[in-house]
Amino acid sequence: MTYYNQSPDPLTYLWLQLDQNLFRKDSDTALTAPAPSLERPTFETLDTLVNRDFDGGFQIASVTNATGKPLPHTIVKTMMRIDLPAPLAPGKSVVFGVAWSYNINDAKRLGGRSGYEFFPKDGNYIYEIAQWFPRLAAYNDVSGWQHKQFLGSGEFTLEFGNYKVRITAPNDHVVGATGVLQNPQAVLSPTQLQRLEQAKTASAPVLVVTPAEAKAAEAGKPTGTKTWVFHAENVRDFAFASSRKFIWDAQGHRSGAQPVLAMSYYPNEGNPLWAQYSTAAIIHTLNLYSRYSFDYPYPIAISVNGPVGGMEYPMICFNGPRPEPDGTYSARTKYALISVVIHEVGHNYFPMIVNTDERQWTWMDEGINSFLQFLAEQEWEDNYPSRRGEPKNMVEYMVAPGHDPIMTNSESVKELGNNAYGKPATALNILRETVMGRELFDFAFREYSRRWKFKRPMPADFFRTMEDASAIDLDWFWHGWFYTTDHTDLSLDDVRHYTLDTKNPETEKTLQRQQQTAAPTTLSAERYRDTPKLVEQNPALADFYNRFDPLAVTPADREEYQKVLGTLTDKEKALIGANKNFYVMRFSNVGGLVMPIILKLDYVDGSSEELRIPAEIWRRDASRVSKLVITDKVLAQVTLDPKLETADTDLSNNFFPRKPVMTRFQLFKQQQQTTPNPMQQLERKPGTDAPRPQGPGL
Amino acid sequence: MRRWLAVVVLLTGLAPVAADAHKFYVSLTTIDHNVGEQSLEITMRLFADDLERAVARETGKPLTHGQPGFDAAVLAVVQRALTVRQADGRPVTLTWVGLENKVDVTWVYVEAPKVPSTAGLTLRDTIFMDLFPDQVNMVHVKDARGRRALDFRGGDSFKPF
Ligand SMILES: [Zn+2]
Repeated sequence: MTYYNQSPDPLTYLWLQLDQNLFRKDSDTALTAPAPSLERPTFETLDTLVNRDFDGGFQIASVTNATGKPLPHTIVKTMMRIDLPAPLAPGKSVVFGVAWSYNINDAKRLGGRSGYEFFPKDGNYIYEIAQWFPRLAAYNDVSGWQHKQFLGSGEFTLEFGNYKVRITAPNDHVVGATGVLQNPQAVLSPTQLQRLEQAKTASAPVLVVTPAEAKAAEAGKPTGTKTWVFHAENVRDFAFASSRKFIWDAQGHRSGAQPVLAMSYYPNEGNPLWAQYSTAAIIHTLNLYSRYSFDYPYPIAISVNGPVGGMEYPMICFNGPRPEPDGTYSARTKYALISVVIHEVGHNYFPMIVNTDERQWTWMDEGINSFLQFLAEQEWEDNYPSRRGEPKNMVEYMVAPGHDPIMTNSESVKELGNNAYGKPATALNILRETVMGRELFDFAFREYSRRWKFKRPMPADFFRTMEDASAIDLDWFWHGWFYTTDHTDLSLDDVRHYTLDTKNPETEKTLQRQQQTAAPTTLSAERYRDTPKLVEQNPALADFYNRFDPLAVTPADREEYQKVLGTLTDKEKALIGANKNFYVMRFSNVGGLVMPIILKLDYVDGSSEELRIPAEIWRRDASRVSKLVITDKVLAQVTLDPKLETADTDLSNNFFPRKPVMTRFQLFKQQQQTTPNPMQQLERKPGTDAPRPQGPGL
Repeated sequence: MRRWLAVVVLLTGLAPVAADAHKFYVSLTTIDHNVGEQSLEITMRLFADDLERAVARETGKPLTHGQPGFDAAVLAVVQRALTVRQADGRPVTLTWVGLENKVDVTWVYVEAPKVPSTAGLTLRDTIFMDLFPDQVNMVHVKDARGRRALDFRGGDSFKPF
């Protein structure tokens, strides 16, 4: 390995990551694992708990300099320090070598981000190999060496480098890897070479290895080995996959000026899903992510099916979903596959190219990637069932007391899926749709991506660039969404209606009479209304006051009004005559999170309009604000956040006049008590459970 | 005190699950006390694949959403895992309301009638802990006293409502 010191600091030692040491029996991960549940454990659980027989971790045979002389080195859990004979000056390079080995883990049994899967049916294996060599730790200008120990959750950050890798495998294996295959003539058959060539310009995936050929290989035995040579440039890691079970398809694509081969490797067990969706999802991802960030800069993009559920490396990723053994599959499996391919291929951009540090901040790649994944899913088909992105899906998590701020170290986060994937993805979607608008957001996000590709942004770099490119002050947003556990709960407390006193007796007295008529009648007044009254029977008892109507317009009133009019300018007269309605709306911030106030105004004439008030309304008082709305028409109903844009956790205070809002439970129960709609009836197959209002077997 | 572990044979031959990068063993249950109805309204958000595994273990055969017996098996899984106790230690009965399948998530609705007050209630949620040693179950409770969040991991005992 040749290490170039690109930093301004002389380096007296280098740190390498020994990720496989996670699998050592004395690793911090093993020692600090919380006690598992022992309620009715399955045999599989017991097996992994009791038979801790896997001898994992790196065996470091030697660390030597360019001439083969040993270099002093110290292993500290999942890190290794190599002491240099002399400080490495800025701009200089040093050559060293490490000889190492490790046992590959059974990924189905022990988990992990790489490993093997055994297929008892045909006795074959799929290998997904990653985090497999001592990798150089990153040295940055914020914190120096990034050598936080690997505990399992905080994936990694690394240095960019160029790789030349030779992989010797049984000669019936198909190998896919980060990088471009350098010796196709030596490892592929003439037919395969020709198919691969044909794939470059094809408009659909071309099978380089067919299902039948993979099946034949499964039944055969190797007769020797082949060495596959791969080169990769400017990548932060190198991973590969190898199996005789692999079907291999490929399709050419172009990302700007960069020709790309999108390829999938999967066993027959992956079909029919993999043939139909994997490579198509790779190309969809490259198209969409490039549109929102930058052109894909690598010549290869691979998706592999094996034991790992979902994990990303440069140019190659591992994706788990597979159909049932009989070849059928549920909608869940189909969308799980498309989503995970989008997600893992998307990681090429974040963090493989925009090199954020997942050992420290999971959200910087998982959150940003989950946000783009949501955009890609929404452009896959109508009503794509995205798990993350819609604000309303985040409400349950955000309203819960005791969750962590997004700005929490990767290893310390509870509920990593909600915290580092769901909440930041939701935050960015809200920023785009509600706070900044698509045009400004997309411009700023593209600038962030462009500015930080092949570099190491910190959270503040993201926050700063989004503001720098948009001129939108988002300090309040970063603070509330990323540094606190506040949630959105804005309340529309009340709405008061005012009209102008026109001084015109005809208008004002009519209005007063209407108000008097509308005023509630007391019970006694109502009961006495028809009782005969003495003054009516005996007119002698009536006087001026019995005949006087205080709301009748008198000549004196009219004279007074003319006098007032005489003192008004034409402009003032017009203002009074405009007949405006003044509404004073008062809001309070119950959840603590400051958000824009989005209102739907419904008028008594049936029309409606939207009013969007930026979050700056809260700048002087983040707990209570008011807003004056002046309209020609009379309001019937005001609704806060009518399109569920802000993840508001309590909708019951979003209406004026108030409307009852049911919980998810109450909505479901009410729906259950009504008859199923025609679609439900059509879709229910004979012999399946009908929705029941009452429980089974109670 | 020594306790025997109850081991149940898995008949279905389901593969063990790899703890991969993007799968999280978390469930979320919301329990609202409805004062008017004197009941606990319980909504559980469960990963659909986890629930199918639990149902397979419960019934000894694979069943999916919509097949006969699935709802009954879900109720059995829920009744075994989610226990709410009165102040005197008696468990409250959970009755079936229904379930909703949303591709990768299943919403399960159950309720506990005849709970006039939440004073002294305790609860425990062990759903899927038999399948996944890392399972974490979040429970959000809401009553007249306000909102609280409880979380249950392997070995956790009952917690006050
Ligand atoms: Zn990810």
